[in-house]
Amino acid sequence: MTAIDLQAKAKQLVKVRCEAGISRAIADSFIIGQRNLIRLSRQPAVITGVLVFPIVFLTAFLLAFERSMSAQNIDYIQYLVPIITLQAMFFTAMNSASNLAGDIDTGMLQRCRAMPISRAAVLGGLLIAYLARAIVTIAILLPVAYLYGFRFQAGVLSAIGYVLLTLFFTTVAVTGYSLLALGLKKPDLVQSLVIVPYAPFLLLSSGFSPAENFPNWLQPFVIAQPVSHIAAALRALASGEPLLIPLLWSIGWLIVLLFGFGFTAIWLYRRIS
Amino acid sequence: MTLPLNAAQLVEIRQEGGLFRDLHDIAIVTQRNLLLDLRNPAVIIGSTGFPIFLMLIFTASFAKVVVPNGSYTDYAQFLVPLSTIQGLLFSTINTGTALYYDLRSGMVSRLRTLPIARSAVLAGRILGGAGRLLVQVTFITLVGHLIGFRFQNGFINSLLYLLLPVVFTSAFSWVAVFLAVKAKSAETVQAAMAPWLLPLTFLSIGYVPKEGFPEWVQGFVSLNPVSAVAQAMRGLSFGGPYVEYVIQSLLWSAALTAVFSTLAIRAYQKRNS
Repeated sequence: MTAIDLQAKAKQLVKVRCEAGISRAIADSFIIGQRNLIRLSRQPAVITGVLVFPIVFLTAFLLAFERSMSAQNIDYIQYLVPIITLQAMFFTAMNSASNLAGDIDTGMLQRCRAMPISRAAVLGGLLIAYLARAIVTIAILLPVAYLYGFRFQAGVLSAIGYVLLTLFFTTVAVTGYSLLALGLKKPDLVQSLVIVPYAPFLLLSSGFSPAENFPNWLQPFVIAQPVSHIAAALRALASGEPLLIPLLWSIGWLIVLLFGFGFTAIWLYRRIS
Repeated sequence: MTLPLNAAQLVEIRQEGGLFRDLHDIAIVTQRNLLLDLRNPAVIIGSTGFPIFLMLIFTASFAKVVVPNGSYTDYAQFLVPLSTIQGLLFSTINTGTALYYDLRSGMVSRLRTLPIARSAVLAGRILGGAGRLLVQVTFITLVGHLIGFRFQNGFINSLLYLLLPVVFTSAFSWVAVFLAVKAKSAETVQAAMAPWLLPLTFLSIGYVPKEGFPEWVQGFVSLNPVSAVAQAMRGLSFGGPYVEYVIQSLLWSAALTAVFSTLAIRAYQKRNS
């Protein structure tokens, strides 16, 4: 066989494999997602993170602050569950960052890039696996919250809306946290810095305690930042309160952040190697 | 010309047993552990920064909930002891994971082949951990000072204030060390400690006074050793009865140390690596 024949044959093989295209990208993402899920199911820290942490936080905050909050006329279980849900999603995203950094460190990412798979598959697979984890977390957290007295007071549709908005938030959070892993690449460093976005945005929000309880100079940040809006939208969905304004703010923030994080992630991903 | 000494004579001269020699060996291993901490300041900064951050955020968001008519400074005075204990308790996890990495990397095997006291590895780890804890107490207290925490009870009591939580949490370091000797991965220590450390610190008189909890939890809150230490530290820093609580804290520390050091040493002796 001549060299030209070989080349023609190779071209034909590549054509048959059909490496481009959106359906191929989705299929590849699911394979990587499956691999991530298998790995997740074998990490003991993940299992406590999924099963135990959200429930422990919910219980601890409820027991410690329910009485003081009812002095301010707040039904604390109804108030607290949305932010605990978002906190669980933060934990999910933080774990995705350290696993991605682990993949970069061990060379798994290089390996994936060397293979004829869609370039979107690594990040897409990460997202798929962590959305699956998020669904499991929600499915465990909400029944426990129900036992504690949390109710969807506006029916099934609002419950579905609650889950969808939470998952949208998770998508944005995983994308945002992937920047940390793609930018820093060292698992130890990522592990110790995942807390940096988490702490101010989750804790300095009106999710645990109404904005009026914060010092005056902090209130503008507490009111304006995305987590406060999303927590407010989730509360409105759960308690059947006026929904439109917090929901619009949340979705606006989430779309802006998704585009910002998404394009930066793609840019960083291309620079790695 | 005298003959070279034989092995038995050499061993006799080196005098490997004895309390003095043990203490010396422990001091050397401790020094090695502290040096490692000094050369990786990021770890200490990370594990001290987080409790400090939590303390600031809790002061900002819950002061008006817990002390409706008080100022932020009043709550800071109330909260700093608990933040200190909580930060240190979570820091003991690092002591455990550090030991785990030593076990895995072969450092401990190396130490076992050396003619040093058998107790040096574990005791050095605990003492090195205690050194780190002392640094952390100091930093947390300094930041506490910035938000209004003050010592009002004299120099000696202030020193006791700094030492008491170190003694108490060192007992928990033994738990972490025990878990590290048994662990099969570094995350196991974290996964086995965090889920119960969190409720232990929350369900104490640290964040909220006892009356803030529902009646059925109050029994646990008063029995909780963290409550005793928090009460003792409050007494030492700004008045109120403390002798009784200091004694309680020390008894708890002694009991936990006795149980978990025995378990850890047993597990260490059985471990064949």
